[in-house]
Amino acid sequence: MASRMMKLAGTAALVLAAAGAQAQELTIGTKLEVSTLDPHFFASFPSGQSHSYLYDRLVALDDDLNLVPGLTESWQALDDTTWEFRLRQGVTFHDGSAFDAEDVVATFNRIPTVPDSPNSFTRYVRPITEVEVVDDHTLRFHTEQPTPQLPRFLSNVVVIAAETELATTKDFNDGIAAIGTGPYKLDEWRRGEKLILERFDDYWGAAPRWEQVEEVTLANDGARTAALLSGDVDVIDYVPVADLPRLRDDDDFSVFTKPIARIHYVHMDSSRVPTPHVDAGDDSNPLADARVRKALSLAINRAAIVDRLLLGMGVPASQMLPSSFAGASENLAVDPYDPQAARSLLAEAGYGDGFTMTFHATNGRYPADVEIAQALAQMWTRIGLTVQVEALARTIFFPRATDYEFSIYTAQYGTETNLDMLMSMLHSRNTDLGLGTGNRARYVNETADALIQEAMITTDDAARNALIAQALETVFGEHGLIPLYWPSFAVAARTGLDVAVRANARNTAMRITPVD
Amino acid sequence: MAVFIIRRLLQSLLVVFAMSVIVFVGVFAIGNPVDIFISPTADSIEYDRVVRQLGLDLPLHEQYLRFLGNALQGDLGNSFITGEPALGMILQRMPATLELAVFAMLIAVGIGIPLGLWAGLHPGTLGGQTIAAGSIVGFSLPNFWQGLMLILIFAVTLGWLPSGGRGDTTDVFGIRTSLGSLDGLSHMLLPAINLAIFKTALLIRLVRAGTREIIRQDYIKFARAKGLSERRVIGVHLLKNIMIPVVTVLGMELGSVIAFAVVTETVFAWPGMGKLIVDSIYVLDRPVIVAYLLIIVVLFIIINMVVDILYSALDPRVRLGSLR
Repeated sequence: MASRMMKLAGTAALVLAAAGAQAQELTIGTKLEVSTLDPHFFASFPSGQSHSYLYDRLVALDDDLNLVPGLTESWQALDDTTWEFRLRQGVTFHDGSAFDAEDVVATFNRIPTVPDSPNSFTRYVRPITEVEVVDDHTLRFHTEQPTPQLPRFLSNVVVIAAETELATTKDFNDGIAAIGTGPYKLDEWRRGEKLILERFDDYWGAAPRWEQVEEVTLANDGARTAALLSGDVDVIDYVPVADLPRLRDDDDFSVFTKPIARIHYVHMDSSRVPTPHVDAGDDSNPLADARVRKALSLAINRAAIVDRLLLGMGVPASQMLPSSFAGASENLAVDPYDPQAARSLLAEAGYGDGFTMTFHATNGRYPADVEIAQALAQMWTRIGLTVQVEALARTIFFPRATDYEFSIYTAQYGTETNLDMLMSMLHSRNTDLGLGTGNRARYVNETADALIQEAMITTDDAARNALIAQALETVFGEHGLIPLYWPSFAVAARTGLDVAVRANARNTAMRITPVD
Repeated sequence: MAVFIIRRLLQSLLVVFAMSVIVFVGVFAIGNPVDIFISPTADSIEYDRVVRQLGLDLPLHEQYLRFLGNALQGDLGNSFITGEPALGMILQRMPATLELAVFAMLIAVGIGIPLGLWAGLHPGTLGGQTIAAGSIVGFSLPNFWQGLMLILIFAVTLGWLPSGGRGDTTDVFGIRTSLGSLDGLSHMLLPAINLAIFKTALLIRLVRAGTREIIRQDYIKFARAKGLSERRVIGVHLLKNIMIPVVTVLGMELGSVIAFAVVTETVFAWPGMGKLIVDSIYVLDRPVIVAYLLIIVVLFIIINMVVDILYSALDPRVRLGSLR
């Protein structure tokens, strides 16, 4: 019966495949729902995926998140506080107007003034104190302080047409102002349902492959897989872990995966004595001892977690991001699974009899998050600790974590660069400098802080990367954070399509091509 | 009648007020929503700006008084996430949910009442017992699993119907509806059936029990003895008397289908209010949550009022004045 069902489904898929090839249409089911078409309203991860159809950014990212020319052909630092950007010639907006320096100026003017933004893009343009228009296609950005991250910041900034500078968010959502230079034009946006896009024939880059693209929001995991199996969509992203084996074994579908710029980690409160959720029988905080933190890391069987709980959808991690990312240290290796050594370290630190702790985790936020937390607790029980897992919904978890309520917790964090990760997660929390906003465990290391702050103002790439690597080694040398694994991102497509997976876990029609 | 309606509406104001306090305090107690929707790379300058912009730096009572002041002028606040009026966002999604709910109720009534009636009139037969047993299955299937099974059978295996989404819609008086096209209807069928199965089972049991009780009453025997046609005995004398519990339950169920079709809307990616409220709860978008629950309270009050009015139409002995 099962095989007959599959054959039936297979036939349906083939018929649809043939139809799809003729029609030049592509339907993508996505977990990420676009909440606005105003590219400056909300710096949210899901919306950014849909915006890349309509708009371009000043600096683009390749599949591994390296900076590549986008609407600017080249850029260079003239001195520590002056950057020159040369804009691409011959770029047109969907309404036919030409792209030039005026549009960039309009973009920079609009970003800080969008009302009611729940998370604005201002951060990326704030360092720029003056925009100097040299000619129609050359701009100089002046900053108060050296800002080597500026090109990276501008890879987040979507350029709008100058005539839409004063447009409201509603104008964009209604489609009137949703005019970009991107490879696809807006046909229709049905909120919460789908985005319908049409090929833009005058696109400056490689000609878009599809005549029409529908991006359908399918937030529910089961619904997304069902839509692919039934042939309603050609491609789905965020393939649920449980459905991977079935899709891998089925000849009618192909699965594409790649590790993404994200880390699943365990963070520990190493500065409070005592700390609320750890009880060692006295008033001490065992987690303040680097040997205890190392013992916790050695007790973890990362390979088992990745293979059994994630069905291979991850890579055991040694630091914040894989070695392909700038600034990653070459001296850090994945901690081996060595419960024996872990026990001796605990004994050496004076906790040979173990201690009791409550371990906090998210529930349903990341793939297999509860199972992973339970597995970690079991592994720590094996080296003599008493661990209780408390898994919380994200709406409760994150506010409490930010308020420093936990002593040891696990979650994920994703950005594009090692420096961003260091600034947010491992620098001590410093409201004046705007650093350490994601450091929810009160981790403090003054040496690391100094290295991070120096890297932030070092313009030379090699020197900056060396500082970043040094900061990472400082932190991971004392297990300031325990890296678990780098998650993979999976996209599944009907057979006949090839998908290039991007390390930013966003999937668009631009990276999907038919196999000939 | 007018007095009854006015008094009901006044009472409902109190309920709405109480509800707004409960929801407001509840969502406040969960935590700071900014932590959930702000990007992890946002710096603290941006974080503080957002907190101030949303008024989350104020103490709870000031936040509530500000909300109340605006609400009295018809403004239930703007969504934290989209910056648009919460009320507008909900009303925009309402037609999709309403038409799904009504369609599902029509299926349930169209199937449940005749089957229940038949099973009640023929209790000893194989058919009657099959219907009664089948209704128990309809009760016990979890909505979520049942939805996935419907998709697996009718969309994945047989390929007859789409697996989800809303399909083509047509505009009727500026409101988008799926009822105007075959594609729209085909998209609506599976989610509507998923919602209807439980209601159908419920109706079958209610109608069957009512029928079995009433068929033994003296006035039915009398009507038959008088020589009335079976059609008139069942169609008028019997049906009218079993309708009071049925109408009550239908009213409650219609309300709950509209308000809590969450599971079905999620499984079938139906862009209705249920999906909106789930997404909003997920990011603690308080204005939308509060506005949604207030609308639902009002909806239930109206439905109950209509049910009460229907009572008096069905049973002349019932006077509205005594139904408070």
